[in-house]
Amino acid sequence: MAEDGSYRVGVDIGGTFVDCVVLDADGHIASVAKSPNTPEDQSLGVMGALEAAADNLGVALRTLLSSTTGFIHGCTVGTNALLERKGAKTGLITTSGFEDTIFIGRVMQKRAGLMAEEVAHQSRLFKAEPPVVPHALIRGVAERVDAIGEVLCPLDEAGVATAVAELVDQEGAESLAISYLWSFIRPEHEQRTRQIIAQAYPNLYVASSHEVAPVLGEYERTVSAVLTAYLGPAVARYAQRLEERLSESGLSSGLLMMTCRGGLTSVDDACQNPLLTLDSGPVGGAIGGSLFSANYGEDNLICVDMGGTSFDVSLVLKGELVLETIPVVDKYTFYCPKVAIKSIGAGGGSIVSVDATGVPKVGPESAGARPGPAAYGLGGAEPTVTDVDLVLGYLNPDQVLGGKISLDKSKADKAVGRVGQEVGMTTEEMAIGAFTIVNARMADMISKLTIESGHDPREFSLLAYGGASGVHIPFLAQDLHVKSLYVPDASSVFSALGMVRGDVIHTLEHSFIAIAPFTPKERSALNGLIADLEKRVMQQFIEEGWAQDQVRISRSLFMKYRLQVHELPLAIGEQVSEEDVAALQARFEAQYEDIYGQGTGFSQVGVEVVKIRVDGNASPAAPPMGQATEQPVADATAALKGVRDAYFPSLGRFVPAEVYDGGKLRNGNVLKGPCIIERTGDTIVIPNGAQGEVDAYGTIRLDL
Amino acid sequence: MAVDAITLQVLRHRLQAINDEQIGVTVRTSGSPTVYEAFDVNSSIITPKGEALAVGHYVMALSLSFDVTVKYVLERFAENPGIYDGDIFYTNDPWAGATHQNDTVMVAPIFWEDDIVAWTGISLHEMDVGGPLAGGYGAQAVDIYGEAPLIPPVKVVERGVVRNDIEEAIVRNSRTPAFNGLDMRGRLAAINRTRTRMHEIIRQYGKDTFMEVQDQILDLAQEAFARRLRELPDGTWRQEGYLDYKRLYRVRLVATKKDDRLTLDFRESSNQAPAMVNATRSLLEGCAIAAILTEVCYDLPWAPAAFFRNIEVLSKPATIVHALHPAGVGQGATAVGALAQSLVSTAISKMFAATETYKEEAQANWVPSTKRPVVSGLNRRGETYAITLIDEAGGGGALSFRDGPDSVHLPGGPMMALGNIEVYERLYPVLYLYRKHTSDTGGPGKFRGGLGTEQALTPHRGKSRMQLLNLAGCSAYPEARGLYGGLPAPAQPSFLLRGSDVYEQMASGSYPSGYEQIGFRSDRVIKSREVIRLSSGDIYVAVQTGGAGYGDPLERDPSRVLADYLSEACSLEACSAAYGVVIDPESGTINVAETDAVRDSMRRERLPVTSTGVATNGNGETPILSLGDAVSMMPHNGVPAWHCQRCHHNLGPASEDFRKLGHMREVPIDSYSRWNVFGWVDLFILREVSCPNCGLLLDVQSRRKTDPTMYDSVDWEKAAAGR
Amino acid sequence: MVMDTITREIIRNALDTAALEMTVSMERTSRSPIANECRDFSTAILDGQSRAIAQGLGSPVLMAAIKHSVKAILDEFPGDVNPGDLFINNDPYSGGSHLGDTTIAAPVFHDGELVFIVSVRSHLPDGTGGGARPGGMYPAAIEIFEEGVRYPPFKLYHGGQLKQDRFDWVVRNTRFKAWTVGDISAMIASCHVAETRIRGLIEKYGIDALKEASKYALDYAEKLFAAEVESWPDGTYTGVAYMDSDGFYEWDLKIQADITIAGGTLIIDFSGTDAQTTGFANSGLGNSLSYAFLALSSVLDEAIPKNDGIFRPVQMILPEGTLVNPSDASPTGFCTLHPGAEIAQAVTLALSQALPEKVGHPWDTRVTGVISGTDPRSGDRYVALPFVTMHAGPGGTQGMDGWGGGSGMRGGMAYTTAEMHEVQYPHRVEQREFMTDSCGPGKWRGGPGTRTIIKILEHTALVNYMVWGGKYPAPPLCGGVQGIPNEAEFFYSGDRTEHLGGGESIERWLNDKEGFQTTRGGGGGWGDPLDRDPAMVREDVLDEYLSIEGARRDYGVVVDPKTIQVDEQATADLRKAVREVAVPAGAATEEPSS
Repeated sequence: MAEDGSYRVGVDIGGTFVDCVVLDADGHIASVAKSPNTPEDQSLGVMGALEAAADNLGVALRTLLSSTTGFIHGCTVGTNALLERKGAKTGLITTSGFEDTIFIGRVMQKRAGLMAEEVAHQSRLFKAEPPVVPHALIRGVAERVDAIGEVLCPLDEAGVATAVAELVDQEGAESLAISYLWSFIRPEHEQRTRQIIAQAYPNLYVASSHEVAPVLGEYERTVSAVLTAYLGPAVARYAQRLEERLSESGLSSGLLMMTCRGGLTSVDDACQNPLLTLDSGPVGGAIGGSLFSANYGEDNLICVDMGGTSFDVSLVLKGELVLETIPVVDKYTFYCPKVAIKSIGAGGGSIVSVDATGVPKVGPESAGARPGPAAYGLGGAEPTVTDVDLVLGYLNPDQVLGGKISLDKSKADKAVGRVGQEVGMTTEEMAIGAFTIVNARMADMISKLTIESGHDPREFSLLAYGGASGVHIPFLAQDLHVKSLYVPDASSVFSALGMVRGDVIHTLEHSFIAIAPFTPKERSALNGLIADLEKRVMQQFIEEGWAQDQVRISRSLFMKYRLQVHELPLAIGEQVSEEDVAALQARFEAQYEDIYGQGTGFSQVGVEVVKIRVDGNASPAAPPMGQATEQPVADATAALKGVRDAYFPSLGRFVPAEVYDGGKLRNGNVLKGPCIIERTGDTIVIPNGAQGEVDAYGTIRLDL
Repeated sequence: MAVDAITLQVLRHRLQAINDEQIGVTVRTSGSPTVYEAFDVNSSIITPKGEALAVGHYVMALSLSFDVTVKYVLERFAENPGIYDGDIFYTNDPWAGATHQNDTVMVAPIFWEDDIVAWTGISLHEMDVGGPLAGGYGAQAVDIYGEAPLIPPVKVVERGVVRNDIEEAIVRNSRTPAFNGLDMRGRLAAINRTRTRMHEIIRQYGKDTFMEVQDQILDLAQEAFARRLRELPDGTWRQEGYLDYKRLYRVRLVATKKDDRLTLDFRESSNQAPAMVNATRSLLEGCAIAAILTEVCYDLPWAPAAFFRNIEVLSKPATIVHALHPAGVGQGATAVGALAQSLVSTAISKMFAATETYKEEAQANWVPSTKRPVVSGLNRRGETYAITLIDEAGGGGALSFRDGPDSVHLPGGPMMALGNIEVYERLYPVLYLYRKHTSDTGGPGKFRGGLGTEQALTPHRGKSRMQLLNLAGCSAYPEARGLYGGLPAPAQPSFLLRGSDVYEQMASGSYPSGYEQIGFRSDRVIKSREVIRLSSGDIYVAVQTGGAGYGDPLERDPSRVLADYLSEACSLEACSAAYGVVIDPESGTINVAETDAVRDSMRRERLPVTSTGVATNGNGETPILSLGDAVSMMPHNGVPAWHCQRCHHNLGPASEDFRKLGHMREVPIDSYSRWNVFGWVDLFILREVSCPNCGLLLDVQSRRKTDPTMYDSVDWEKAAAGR
Repeated sequence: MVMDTITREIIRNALDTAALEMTVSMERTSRSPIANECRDFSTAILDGQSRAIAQGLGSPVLMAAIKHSVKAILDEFPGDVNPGDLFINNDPYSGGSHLGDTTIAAPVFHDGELVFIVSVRSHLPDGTGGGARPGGMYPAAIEIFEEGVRYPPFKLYHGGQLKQDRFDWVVRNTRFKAWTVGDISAMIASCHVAETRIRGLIEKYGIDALKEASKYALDYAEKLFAAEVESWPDGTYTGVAYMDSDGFYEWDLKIQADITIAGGTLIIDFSGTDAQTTGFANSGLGNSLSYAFLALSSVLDEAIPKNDGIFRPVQMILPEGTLVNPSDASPTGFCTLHPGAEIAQAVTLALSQALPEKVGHPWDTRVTGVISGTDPRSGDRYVALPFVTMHAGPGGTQGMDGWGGGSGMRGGMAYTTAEMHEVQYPHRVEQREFMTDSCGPGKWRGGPGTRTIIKILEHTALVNYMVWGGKYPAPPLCGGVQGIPNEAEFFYSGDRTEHLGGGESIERWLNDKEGFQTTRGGGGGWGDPLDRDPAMVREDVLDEYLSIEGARRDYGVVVDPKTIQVDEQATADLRKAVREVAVPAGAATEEPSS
């Protein structure tokens, strides 16, 4: 035990549990703990999980915290505040004539974020309700800038003052957003408005669109500003409270917040940019995935998380997480680069039923945690994927979940059997069918995501985590023909683990529009811009106390065919040389055709650069993973704990499968399918024909 | 050989995923804001026989006639020039499966060894495909030749090789050749993906399974659709809509549902127009099925060919819904097509409303027509531009239990989006003064239709005057049909303000954020599909109408009316004129006493002069069947009769359409919305049918004065018995 | 290989004959009256480098356009022109003129080598494809997209097979499918005729002999041409012509040709020409070159073969962005008439300074239009180019008066007769006659103008009509005087009329018995009218080309109205008096007041 200190602690708030992971100085997992979520005050749940983790370690919480050198936290305060409409009462000041922008929502607000099945149902398409900002809290003021940044109508400062007074004094706004047309190229009106607000209400939370999202597109930019104002106070309040509690309990190190951008940031930054915290939870897993990618030399990795209600997929491409620039949360689209995570309703709780054409289907409805799967015996009558897994022998019918819920296989049999009857199938046939369908849906999702981003799943390995992954992913990985499949240790707290090993990331982007090849003048302007952005990124790290040599800088040029809008990033060095310029178009076109296929390029229109991005990364922990301490042993007999009949599709029948105790597996153990590994938090099924190998970190790699 | 249900489900989903993927790739590679910003695109997978197996959720009509394209290619080109693996055909010919000339289609056979195992196709709206009027449509055309040129299916990729000469010949007819070329290449990439993905399926499951799955998808979808149709009452529903293009045309739908068959008879529609607004027969079918997909088949696999097995569309050649070459069809999709779709929608809603299971699916009409400026000229760099600005949104229709959604896509394009104002201002020499929801655009009702938008633009920094086609319909009369006493959404006028003072106003620090704040030299109403030229400072104002209402507006909860007033959904005048709710604007409260009095008097006005105040009866009986909140069918001693739901007055025998039993009166169209005062106020009339006893509004039809009221014929007793 | 001149001449003439056979084949097999009646097409045999070796009869204004269209084909298919290919091209921006004229070209291979290209260029009945108005001429156009479909070079045949999809495309956009299919088939057949003929020659003489003869034909023409130019006086001569309008809103558009003759070389420079314009009166490169060469070749010795050889010693300067070489996508629908005419005029006016004895009629200006409707007799749709109204009076030449009723277009075009017009279209030609006092006076006078009246019968027709040469009629030469200008008048029911002057275009729906009258002005005169032989003036009076007042006014010739004899003395006196106060003629070359 590292009495002398230096733990790193990660706490991730999930839907039902708060997960906590403690790493020791060597980067090994020292303690894992879960504690119920406390939605009213999430900081209480955090403290609960910390207590439990300290218990596991056998130390007092104060001891744990005082020897903690890094505390990383992923919270759902922002997400919850948005979903439950419990953010600050927010007012919006915008260009007169455009007050309804967030209501019109580019029309697509009715279906943003919905699944295809839902989009099809026209009579049930409605807007985000209730709106984050109601009609009464929006004020238009006279001002107008045009597309080339010229002021057509000066800002009506008196009008601003009146609007602010009305919003705050009459309507009771607790927070204000400002969004004017074209503010991202000419921010003076927004800046001046902020000054006017500050004079009258110095302590009011204010978000300006040009600061939050200096990007073209008034709808998304306005939403970004509005959501920032709506969530900022809540996130700030929470962070402040948590910091207080932690510091009272002995934490001396700083607190870092998990961001949806795929890295960590300071509490101050998260409070100013609360959008960074939206949906940041699943990103922890993706970060874990990117670190995993580096540690295992797997450049291209599909990270999948199958939990109780949803199946989340993210990609690591050439070691980098893939970002989406316009994410959707609760029907609002906004600008905030976020790790691209796509979800479908396929998890342990997904319900098995028969669709309108008489064909079995799985999901998207979920039984959730309550009533949960039929086997839980909590009143759920609908069969779920968990029930199916139980019927097929993958899950141990005698296990007790979370120390509370015991599984009842007979209830699962009955529920699955009932749906089977509707379509003339036996219980087992129905279970096999549902298992196939849910796996296929997940496989389709993976294909779609990789293909739409221009890649072939066969170039990837899979990393599977989350409670239900170990049962399903090995089978669908066989169908996808991925290179190999990894199931990490502590897969059920992988997100917390990911964030505790994550980097601090700061990113700056700047538009830079030029047609390739550049003129010498453009090249020197570009190099100047890169240097400037680097300087500013570095400055932020230095302000946060990092040393310059701890920060790694990378630079990307975003290029596209002229006329297109979707661009591809090309990595570049510190400075762009003349040779680089000459090679740029060819590099872009090679990458483009690599993605979209031969003959799809369109050289005639030319290629242009649209923006540059500079990313700075700093790794708080070194090394990210501990060293192997054991000699590898192939024989896993020591962990064998029994035999259970389970169904293996390629054999077409139930066969006795060896069951291993995951906790007793050791470095180098080789497991031949068909067999089952039961671990705390998850179960892994190794199909026949596949083979698993355990490594020093408890990761099981499957060769399929 | 039957494929098991599980494999079927797996592959059905996979085909849908493949279809979605190809749209995804298309959108990502396109440079046109119409595609990447507004998603005017769709794709479909077709069986080797030309049956539509899967269709995307974007602008649906775009890809609902690929079967026609495929059949054209199979029939004409099998021998010469031949159909080979790796071929892709390109067309924009509305008689060969395109919706109108701007919607260019690419279809490709998918081969496995020597056989075609499927077809795939992607269609999208190009900004310009040539022709006399930039941006397409050809509003001044006298025939199809004056519209954008037709490209019947031509092989643009042969055995995987792009035929550069054909590609060049296609794009050189466009004012935006680079964009069109890019869109062609993007779709090539998408189709290549689809081919690879289908080959994967065949490798994994075998060709026989792949082919069998296609049949089963269709069979099962058909069976499910047939089951649903059987749940609906048998009968005949009649509806008719109008279309204004230089003169007034009619589209009439007689929808007959019997057992599991649905017949959509459009034969009584007007003769074809010389140009622009007509639909081809395939477009008519596409628009009809688009309504069926989103409103009846929302939870079924979208395999259009399956549903057509139970649907018959009847039309007469050389009518506006079944145009023959060389009548122009440049705007077919959003003119006659959209109108036909809204008529089908009304018929379906009336069937749904009569059932317990589906009554909450019944929805009044959504916005039935576009209001888009097609602009062209020289931009600030002196380059030619031409674009249909998808910048407007109409409202959704009300349901039996809630208001319609504000600012929606056109029905049938759920994945569409509006462009950001900034995107349009950046790409085109245009300045928008405002874009906002506009009051009184939703059709009044117990539940009102959603609101439409109003926007105003002026040319800004262009190097030429701006040519603008007002791509609009229903400019002078209300079209979107309400249900069970709900009023139609009002007309949607457009205005031209010459020589405005907006620049001066702005320079002096005040901002003209509404029509009423703009000063001008002259103003006038712009007709549907009129072409105008604008100089900077001339303003084009477009009002897009909302959705129609559901139920008698006087039954609307006054507090909802007040909320509408406070949120500017309803003007003070309309609160009182349409809803009979009197609001004190000073305090922002309802004057309850006056409201009651006004509502009473409004109901009285609806009563026949000789109203005898017939005693109510039937109270306490359990209705056999109800239609909206309007009428209920009561057993009435074995002779079922319609009763008013409000006062239980016995209207008459259920063997009659209740519309014939109530009291009818004619009301001017300008009585309920400030948008109905432009244009054909004297030509149109609202026909209101009310309970002769209490004045509950049962049905409203917006009709040309000389046209008959439309009635349905349904054997309600049988319908009730069948429930 | 050395070959005797006789054989070379035989082969050269055989190729000329083959080109002529193409014409005959075209005339016999084409369907539309534009082709089979009026020969608005051109045929050519070109060598493998797209140099025209031989040309058939037809419309010579297609001469350079055919060559440049073929060249564009070769440029667009580098290394991809193969036996069995057949190309189509109508794009003004791929060497053409206006969309109405379509080039069909087929390569002829021998032992894998491209040795010849046979080609036909013809005006298809509805343009090649549609456009806003029937016939493809649309004065309201401001972009080429409004004028019809562009078919830049692509292969209609590939590997010997007609590609059905491509052929379908081409005929899909025309209002007159049967005519268009017929004409394109005739063009293809015509190419086959030439190819067969060439193959026969190759068989008979061997490919080397044909190549040698082709080279000889070009060299021969070049040599003769250079020799002729050599004989011309060196110097720089400027010709300026004006076009009434561009059909849209620009007026008085200038075409300027500066011709420099130096030894055996010639430079024709159009740099002084106005910038391209908004309306449909821009000239595609092929068209400009055609007109320039046409004007040039009309002063050449008849013995000089009109093949590519004569192009060689000439340097043409046609700056891009001008009326004679517009940038992509400008409309060019009118160019084969205007500014084609003005290009020829400018060149002729420049040459008239160097070669006054050789120049003649400098090209006439047009009243033209398109009538379309549905023929009540058959129920078929028709489009009529009213060639029947188009007889103009060509200008005078040294030694010869302009003869009446000319086509105005040099070469083999022919105009429809009134009877044929009435057979073909539901119209009545009510009047069609020379007009007295319409000729441009000169020592050699211009030909008389024509007045024609057409009435629409028992249907409603859409008439698009354009009058050019109202403000700037065909210029006179060498001191001659211009003829009367062009104009038109529409007659509507209720005795309402509407006048159409120079540079104006209208679109009207005409009903039964409504119609229009066109006045095609007379040709310009050559030389001072006072030098005209009074006896010839008297002849003109007798022929009613000239009134007695006109003879006096324009020629200073006094004719006795009773005897119709020239009063010699009065004439001499009058001419003397007039000469003393005379202002030199040639006003049309003065700067216009705009």
